[in-house]
Amino acid sequence: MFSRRLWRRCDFLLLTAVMVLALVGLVVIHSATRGDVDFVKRQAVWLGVGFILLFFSAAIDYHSLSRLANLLYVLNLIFRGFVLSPAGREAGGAARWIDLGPIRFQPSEFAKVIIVFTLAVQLGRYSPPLKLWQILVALIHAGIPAMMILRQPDLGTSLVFVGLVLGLLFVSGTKLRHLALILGMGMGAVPLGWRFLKEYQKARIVSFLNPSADPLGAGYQVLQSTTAIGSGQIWGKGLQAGTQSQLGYLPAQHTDFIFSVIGEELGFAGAVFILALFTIVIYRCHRIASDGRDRTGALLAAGVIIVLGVQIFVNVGMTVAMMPVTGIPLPLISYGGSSLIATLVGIGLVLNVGMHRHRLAF
Amino acid sequence: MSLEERREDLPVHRLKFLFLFFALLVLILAGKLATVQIVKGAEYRLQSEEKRLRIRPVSAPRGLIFDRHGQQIAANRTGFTISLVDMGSKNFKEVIRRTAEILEQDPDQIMDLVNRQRYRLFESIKLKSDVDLATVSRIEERRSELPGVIVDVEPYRYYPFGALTAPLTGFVGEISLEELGRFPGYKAGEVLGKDGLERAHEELLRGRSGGETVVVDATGRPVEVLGSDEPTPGHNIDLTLDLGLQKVARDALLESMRRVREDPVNPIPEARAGAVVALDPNTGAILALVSEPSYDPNVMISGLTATEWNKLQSDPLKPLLNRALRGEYPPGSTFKMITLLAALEKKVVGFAETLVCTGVYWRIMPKKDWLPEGHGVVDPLKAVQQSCNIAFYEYGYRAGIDALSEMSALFGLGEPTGVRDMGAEKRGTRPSRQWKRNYFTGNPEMQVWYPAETLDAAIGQGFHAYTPLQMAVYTAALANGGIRYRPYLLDRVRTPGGAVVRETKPEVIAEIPVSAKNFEFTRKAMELVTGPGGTAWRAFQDYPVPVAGKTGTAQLSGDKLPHAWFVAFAPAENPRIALAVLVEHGNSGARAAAPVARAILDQFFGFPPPDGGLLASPGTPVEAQESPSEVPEE
Repeated sequence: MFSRRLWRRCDFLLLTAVMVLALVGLVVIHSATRGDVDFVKRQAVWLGVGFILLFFSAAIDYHSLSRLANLLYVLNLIFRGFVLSPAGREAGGAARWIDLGPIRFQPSEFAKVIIVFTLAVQLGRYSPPLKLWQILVALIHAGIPAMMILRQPDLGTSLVFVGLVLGLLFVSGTKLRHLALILGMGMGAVPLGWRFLKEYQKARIVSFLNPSADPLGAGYQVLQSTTAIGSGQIWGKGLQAGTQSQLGYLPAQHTDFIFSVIGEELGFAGAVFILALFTIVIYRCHRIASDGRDRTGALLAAGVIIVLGVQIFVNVGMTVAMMPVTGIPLPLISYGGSSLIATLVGIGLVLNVGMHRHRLAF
Repeated sequence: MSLEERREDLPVHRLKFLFLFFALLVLILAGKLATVQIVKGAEYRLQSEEKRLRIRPVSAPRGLIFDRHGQQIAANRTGFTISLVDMGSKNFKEVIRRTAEILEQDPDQIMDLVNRQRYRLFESIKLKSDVDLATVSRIEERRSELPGVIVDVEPYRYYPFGALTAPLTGFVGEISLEELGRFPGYKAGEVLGKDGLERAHEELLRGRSGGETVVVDATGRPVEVLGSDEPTPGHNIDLTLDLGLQKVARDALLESMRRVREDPVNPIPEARAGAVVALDPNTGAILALVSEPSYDPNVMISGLTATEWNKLQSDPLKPLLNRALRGEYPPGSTFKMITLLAALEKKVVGFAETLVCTGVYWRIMPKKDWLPEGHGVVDPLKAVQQSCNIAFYEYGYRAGIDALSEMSALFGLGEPTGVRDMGAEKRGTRPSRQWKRNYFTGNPEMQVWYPAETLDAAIGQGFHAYTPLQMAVYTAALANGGIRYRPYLLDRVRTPGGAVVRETKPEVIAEIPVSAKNFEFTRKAMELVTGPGGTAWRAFQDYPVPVAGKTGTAQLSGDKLPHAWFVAFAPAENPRIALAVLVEHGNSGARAAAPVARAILDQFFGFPPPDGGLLASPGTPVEAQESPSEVPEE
């Protein structure tokens, strides 16, 4: 698994773009926490751990990994159950953590990459066009963990799951009218689902649709965030010089709202630079998916594209008042070990697909 | 697998579409960023640098409380609160030091508060509530040196009648850490009802606080309101209370206690506490409720120092204790109507049946009457009128403890009255065979009911202990012919706009199955108490309205002086008011308690107060003094 032949096929452009994003993340976290080195140190350790895991997840042939898919799926469900149990730890009105003494982690972050993998394996077995029962299996496959995450409650991650299953169904060759049907039914279920949302989730959505409805809560966050980003103008105010971020106006400025700090301190240039790097990452993933030899590999890469793409859009969109406030981190940048490590493992899996694409030719 | 197979297997154009879709989303984001940062950038830059946004909480004014005639007894006044926000200035520590100096606080403690709010710096930190004008002007004078120090005007609770209405209103205070756990939806620093109406009707009175997103200038002063969430004031409450009656009741009680303490012949310095409850016997509405000593609830608002609070708490007279609801006292002879009704209902005593009181009751063991020479030939009317213990020993003996206990329960003695408006009430103790069995678990000898205990119980001594409110409810039921109402203080709830949202309907808790003629007989007996030869004759001499009453002098164990009671209703026919008066260690119901009742009735019926003050002359005729001569074994 460490043969030079294998690693010669690694997509170093993708790896470099990911590295640069993570390092920019460290710098911005340092600034967002007003030079508190503890946060940066911890994030750096996670980054190290993440890269080690990335190499493993890239090196072990995903064909052999795919045999573990069922086991992984079940383990993931057990973790979900854990979070809903008293061992789960509350954060910001929601139980999202598992607390194991010194190590706390957010299993919903890992759930994203696990479901990408298991769903890709599942859909990889079918050939297009997908039959109705196959579509149903895929919906249930992603639906069960998504419902459990919604119960935590974590609306944002659940939305990522919705995007994931729709995107993968699309890519794996579902008839468009079937997709349209699913979308239609999903829309119809929205008013029903509203009843199951927590008060604070409803408040966030209401304040997104009508920002003046809640000037003190979620609307306030978005107002402050937009002000921060806008005031950065083209070149930004410089690291640790953003008045909005440095004075504590921004909520969760080193985690979910870190893009506001980028916007304020690094300006339009910095923000677009970050978006460009993300585009490179997505483009390279897309290349690997298109060049992949088999369905599973292509779907795996496509799944990572979808999860990254949805998170980037929802997170950045939220900071400029285009999307409602949901607790979704900005991949690779936001402070938080679980998200960082899970994203790096996902990238590792994509590299894996690229590196093992010629295997069947031997 | 050949290349052709794979292409069939996987629609590459759909993958391409997926990439293009996300690329488009990124473009949209970039476009939005360009709008925000380049097109509107300068505007936002201005906002972030010259103007800053903050959240300013706006407290809701608490609901007002009125007496039945519209007098405000709980109002709101404005006061000043000093808060601090971190404006990011370099000499923030210096600002804290100066502010601490002005407010006489510890700068480290303020720093601690600031640090605790590190990630919510957009909200201000409350440093001191209800500061005086001098402090405010000291801060305003040095405004430029104190960026981030904010003076807010906030509503504060105010009780115009202070200690007079404190037993009813209770008071509010800042929510404690422990209460924060029990009251979800409250934030630290918010106000919570702590006792009385304020606590019982917290939800009605509280209202909903709002807030404003404000733009502040560099010193932290709001210059523009961007969005606001208006606070909703609490509901207003109309009480059944008659403030005029309340005032007379309290003044009369205080005056009577003073008189007992300063009696030239037999001064009793212990007479320092008491309670009065006046009810409308036809509804259960509370007209007056006094508990003394009281306290000034206004002192509690801006926060007591630890020393002041400890002093209040450790005061042996317990000013914070609402005696009307939570003080439990033996009823003494005011209990005798229960004994009479129990015996009449059981038909063990006839209306005209007489016995001879020689001053000693011989049946079980010699027990003396309070009048050594005895009352002579006594019928039930005279027994009540002169409070003859010998007669009641006999009535109680014939009725038996079970009948006494059952009759007490019917009148609500030893039962919660069900009052809801002033917080918890005490239940009292109603002795019975069952009660002794349960109470003295582990002491088999004490679990037995002894016949001698029935005799004590028959005259309201022994184990009985009831609250003044229970005694008033009992008296009201005697007055209205056996209907026990739930006592209530809250009459109506109104929105700040005046619309009535709730109105209390009188609620019958129990109808007492005692025959009308027995009630009528008892009423007649009680009327004789205030007539010539009655124990309360001196206080009610030639009173223009017939008053039915009963004195009580409740003996205590040890060498403590007895409590003085008087219960009454008036007019004796079709009564409109029923009341119970208690003076702790008042020594004589006739002398210490009955004159208080008289003063209250004067006010109620609109009679001018007697010459020389609120209370009638303190007559001391021997025949009007009653006092059981024995201290019952307890």
